[in-house]
Amino acid sequence: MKISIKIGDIFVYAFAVVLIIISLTGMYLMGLNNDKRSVVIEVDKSDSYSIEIREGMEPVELRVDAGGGRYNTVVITYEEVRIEEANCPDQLCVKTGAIRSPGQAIVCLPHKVTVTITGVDERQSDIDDIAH
Amino acid sequence: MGRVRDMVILGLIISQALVLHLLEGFMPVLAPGMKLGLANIMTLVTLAIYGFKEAIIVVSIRSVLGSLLGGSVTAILYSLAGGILSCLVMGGLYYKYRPYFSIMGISTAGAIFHNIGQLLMASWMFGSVGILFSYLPLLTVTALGTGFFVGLASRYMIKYLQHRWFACERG
Amino acid sequence: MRKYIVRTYPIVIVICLLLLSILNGCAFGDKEKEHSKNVFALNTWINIRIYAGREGPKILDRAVQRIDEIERRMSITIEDSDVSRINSNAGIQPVKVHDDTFKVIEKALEYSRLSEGTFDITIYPIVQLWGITSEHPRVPSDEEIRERLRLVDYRKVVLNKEEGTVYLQEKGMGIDLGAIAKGYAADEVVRVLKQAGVKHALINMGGNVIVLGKKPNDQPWRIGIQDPRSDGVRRHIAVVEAVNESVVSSGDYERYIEDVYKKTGVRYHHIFDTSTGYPADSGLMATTVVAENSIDADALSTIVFVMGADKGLDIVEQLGNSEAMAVTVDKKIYTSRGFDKRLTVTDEEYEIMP
Repeated sequence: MKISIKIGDIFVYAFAVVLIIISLTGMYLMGLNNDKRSVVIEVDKSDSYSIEIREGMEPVELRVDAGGGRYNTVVITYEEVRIEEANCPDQLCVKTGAIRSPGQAIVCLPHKVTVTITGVDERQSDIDDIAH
Repeated sequence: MGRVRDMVILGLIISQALVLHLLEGFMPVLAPGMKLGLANIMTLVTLAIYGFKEAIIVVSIRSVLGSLLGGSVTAILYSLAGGILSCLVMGGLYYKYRPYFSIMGISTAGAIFHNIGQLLMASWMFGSVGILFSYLPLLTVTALGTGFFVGLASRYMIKYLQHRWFACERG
Repeated sequence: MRKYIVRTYPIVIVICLLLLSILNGCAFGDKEKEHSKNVFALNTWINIRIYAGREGPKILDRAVQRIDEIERRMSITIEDSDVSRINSNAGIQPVKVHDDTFKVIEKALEYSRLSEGTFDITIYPIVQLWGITSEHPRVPSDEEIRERLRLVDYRKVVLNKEEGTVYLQEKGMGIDLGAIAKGYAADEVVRVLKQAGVKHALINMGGNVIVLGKKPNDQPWRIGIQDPRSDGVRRHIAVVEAVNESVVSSGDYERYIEDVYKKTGVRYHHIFDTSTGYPADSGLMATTVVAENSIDADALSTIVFVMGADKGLDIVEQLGNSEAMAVTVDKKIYTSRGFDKRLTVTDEEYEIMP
């Protein structure tokens, strides 16, 4: 059975590449909005919380209330942000794991919660941790 | 061709699409929305054997029933959004520009727009554009891969059905 | 056409199944990736980072369980912990404790003897008096301190190995395992991780760092030493590379009475000199000890801080199980023999003295 590539197919692949470039640019631009690296948590279009990630801050644990007893527990440390646990049916938001850089996001579809990192990444990366 | 025969065959196609949709649910998911899109094989087949109207019907029923059977009501919206947009794009390409595309290309385009449809719906529901940009790169890359194989499978099916079951070919 | 399809179908199905199983394996693969967890325990934030396959989360849970267990036994704030029961039975009767607690107290007393009483877990009455970690810390009077100082004496702790009991001889005595429990917990976490087959890990227990193996890219872990005068900002003044060891710092910058500091510039911090009952005043801002076991590093970093650069580093060199550095208030760094070669100073205001 012969498989031949037609000209339209090249179009499709090129289009895909363009899409990827546009979204990566979008992610980068979103990261340039603020000065300080922050975590923005949005709940169902209505609520939006922004927390600045500062050097030397103690980990912050937030219980985001998505209404009707639904919640997501967001843990923010200087190095990363993740949804530690939630009572949503698919647990995809927990499985997604941690995000670190501006532009990345974690989404909980059933609860309509998004956790995004915005701002500029200013961390020094030459050490793994600090003894104090 | 008898109308009854058409209804029966479309019914079979829809149930086939449902089975494929549900089977996919057992696959491991790396990111929300990342799936093989096997049900789209049936969409493409319907486009080829019947017509645009029938394809939309197949997609809609598959989305609604498939989501309900899968256990989630909210999934209906996302599935519909992705499925219909993908059907529109595939239909457009198939009927207007068929000479320029292989079936694999059309189904890849369909897969890409299926993702776009779902992400657009999610962005609208959440009121946040960030989602679109975050997931699009990864999902598009996987769409390129899955789209190709879905197209390959569709092509086999279409060829077989056209020769064995349908003397005439629509569209 | 029909024959053609009937013949190829089985092959196609087999190929698809193979692909599916490969995909499945890749998606959940035992490919190692980073798993990390943050918990609040032992009065501080603990971060555990491991590299493991899909059992990563389970391994982390096991580690946290062990930490919780240790906390239940050694916490001074949990009412029926071993330590609390020992303290409430001071001068009354011996208390049976878990092996964990016994081991830690035994080790602590060993260090008390080695440091001639500089390290002393019976310092608790003094800690309570100053209330540094409570809501209302204050500077107590000389008499108050002198009175409580009588109760600080590690020789009055009686251990009975057969019975597994601990007895504080005088009423009013109390022990606080804070200066050594984190070290023990860190070593235990490493033990749990090793048992589970983890080859690369980094654990930070409220500032006490311990690493397992090297980084996944086969490079040693790079651990920064906290700037003692950065006013709470997490930044480092030096870096030490570590493989399979623990890096622990003690200093006057983590806990001290803030308002007194703001008014007078004097730091009443939480590391007490057991001979005076006052915060240690040995001319040091911070000390760091690197040892294979975190429990040793934990105890020694306190000992070096209280004894001062000369005597403290001497003891470290004599013991031979660790290396250390001491930072004086005028930003000079003194190290135990050979440690200066491991240290890279990154802040030019600090310099290593020969």
